[in-house]
Amino acid sequence: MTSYPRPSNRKPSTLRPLSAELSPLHRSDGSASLKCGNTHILAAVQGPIAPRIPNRERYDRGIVSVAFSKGLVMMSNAAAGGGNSSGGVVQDEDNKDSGANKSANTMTSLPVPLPSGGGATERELEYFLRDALSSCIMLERYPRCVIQVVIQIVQADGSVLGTAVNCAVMALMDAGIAMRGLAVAATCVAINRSPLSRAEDMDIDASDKEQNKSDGVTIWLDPTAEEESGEGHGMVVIVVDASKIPKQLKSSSITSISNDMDQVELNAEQDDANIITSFTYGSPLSLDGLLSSIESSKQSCAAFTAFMRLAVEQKVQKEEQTLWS
Amino acid sequence: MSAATALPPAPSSLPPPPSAGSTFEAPPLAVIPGDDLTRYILHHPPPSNSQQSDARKHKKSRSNAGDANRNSEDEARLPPKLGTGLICIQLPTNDKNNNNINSSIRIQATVAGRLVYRQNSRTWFVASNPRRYHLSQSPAATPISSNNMSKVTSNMGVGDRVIGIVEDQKASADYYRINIFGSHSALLHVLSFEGATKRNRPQLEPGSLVYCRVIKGFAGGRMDPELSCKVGSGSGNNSSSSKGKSVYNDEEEDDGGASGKDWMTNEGTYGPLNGGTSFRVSIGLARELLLPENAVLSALDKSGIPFEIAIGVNGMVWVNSPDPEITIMILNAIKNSEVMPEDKVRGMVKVMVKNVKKELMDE
Repeated sequence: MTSYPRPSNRKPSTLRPLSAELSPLHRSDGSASLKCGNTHILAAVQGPIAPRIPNRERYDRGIVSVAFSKGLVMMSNAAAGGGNSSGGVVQDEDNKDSGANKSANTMTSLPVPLPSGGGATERELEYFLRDALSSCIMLERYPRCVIQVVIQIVQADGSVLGTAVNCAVMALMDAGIAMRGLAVAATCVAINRSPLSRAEDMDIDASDKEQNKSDGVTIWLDPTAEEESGEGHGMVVIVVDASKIPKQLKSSSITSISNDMDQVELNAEQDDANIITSFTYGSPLSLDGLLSSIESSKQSCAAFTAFMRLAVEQKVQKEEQTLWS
Repeated sequence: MSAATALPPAPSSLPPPPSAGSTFEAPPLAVIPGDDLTRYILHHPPPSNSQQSDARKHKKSRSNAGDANRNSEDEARLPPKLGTGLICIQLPTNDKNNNNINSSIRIQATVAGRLVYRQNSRTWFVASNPRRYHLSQSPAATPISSNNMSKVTSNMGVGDRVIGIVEDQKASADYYRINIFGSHSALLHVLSFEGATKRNRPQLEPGSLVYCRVIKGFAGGRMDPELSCKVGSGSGNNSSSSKGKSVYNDEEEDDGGASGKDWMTNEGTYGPLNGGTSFRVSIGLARELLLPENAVLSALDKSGIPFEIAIGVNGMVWVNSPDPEITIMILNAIKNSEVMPEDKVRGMVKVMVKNVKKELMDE
């Protein structure tokens, strides 16, 4: 049915099975463990606490500090076959590879969700997360404090950055930190239709709206590492504010696109899903790819928000029976 | 904002909650940050005097015929109050389509937890169970009005009774620095004990426990919180570091008649805690332990074992008893009670007490 099937035979807009646990760690103020298919992330939050370096504190608001746990640094350098913190789930043949033979796009990218050719370091990812989280935490309630988020990648199988954002948000909720919205991330792969072939497939799929195919771009939600590493695949992680997602998800928020694609008018009447931030990696993304990804990400974010709500409900129900007499 | 006109009566069946991606039909018991709760809070019926629900009941009652007029002078229709975890924000009223005045107000949850309504004080709040004590967590209810869009006031946390650990005195000769497991450490003046003078005051070593009261909060983050081991004067009085003996303040009695004996006798309320052991619990559990009919403490009380206990709202608990086995048993009983339903708690305590008594007699 699909002209460009996913390796995992999922539909393009299907997320992987999600499973989460709140407060798996007892010493942290808040923690969450999130499994998205085979990607498993653990996030721990300490806060609000005093900054260790007094220079860092701001008198009027809090600061978010994000750290990917140190195990990452070692993993990206060492041979990853048999690595402990990132299971070799990507491709079987890589387990046998020695460190030198791995392609830049796959194995070295395992612990860090970017190909090393992209040049993004851990620091950039940490800042990305920090910005995403800072926009939704009410930092003015925590002056002179630091909210420390530590992310541990237990198993990486694609969509690591997006899952890390979601996991961090759940850990913040668990810690009881005041937030004015929820930052929910969705990872999309945009595949430009290859110019060589596929012309005949165009007719078959023109009516299939689910594929979100517009002008030759295919969007897959929640890619695995295998899907991420394909050639010509551009990944974008879009973080939206979950409290502002419009009720009607189907209607487009893009009202008009000028002919030369230079100007895009967004539908400002709708209470549009505010995009907090985004991050791209992999192949370069076309404008179509980006816009289609934005559309797809809304569905993903709505689904994830419902999932988070479920997790909170379970915790609340349990507390109601035991804690609040 | 102009005066509110009467709201149109709510439809006979409440519409599903407007939160994103929600699948509920019933009003949400569990809320996550960013949830729009305007409909539930502003449309809740005014509490009728005939059915005063038990203050301990946490079930939120929803009525289909609610409408609340915010500015009405009718007693029963006073505006509801917002407690912890809820904020009221004013949206820019660019909405031409909707003339409803309440579209400009939005009540949002800021923490994830359970939405609770207290009938007696007409307060809505979100009950959650954090592990870290933050000084701005005292539930000061703020009525919804147009004046209250300002930030959280700075006097939160004042009056809390906390247990802290003395860190050191390096900072200044006049103040102890005390770790109250909040965001920052707090200051305790060396003379703020009952009847303390320069020559006659308790010497607190680093690592000792103190049970004290917060007298100055975070003040918007500009100052370190301050503590005192003196019995409280009125809440408006901030200069409780005045010298000399304390005074029982009758009017704004803040401290509930706490005994104000000198620090030298061990019968005062506040001061260093000697012996025993201390452990941290979550804030929610500490709050539960402070309730008058707490299950685990009353069960321990009934069992007749001797012990003394101090509970700080910052999540620290101190227990002391003549035998270390009893102390440990109490510690475990309290920790277990966090995850056990109430009816099982009493049974658990009975079993544990029996075991400990047996053990002590076998020695």
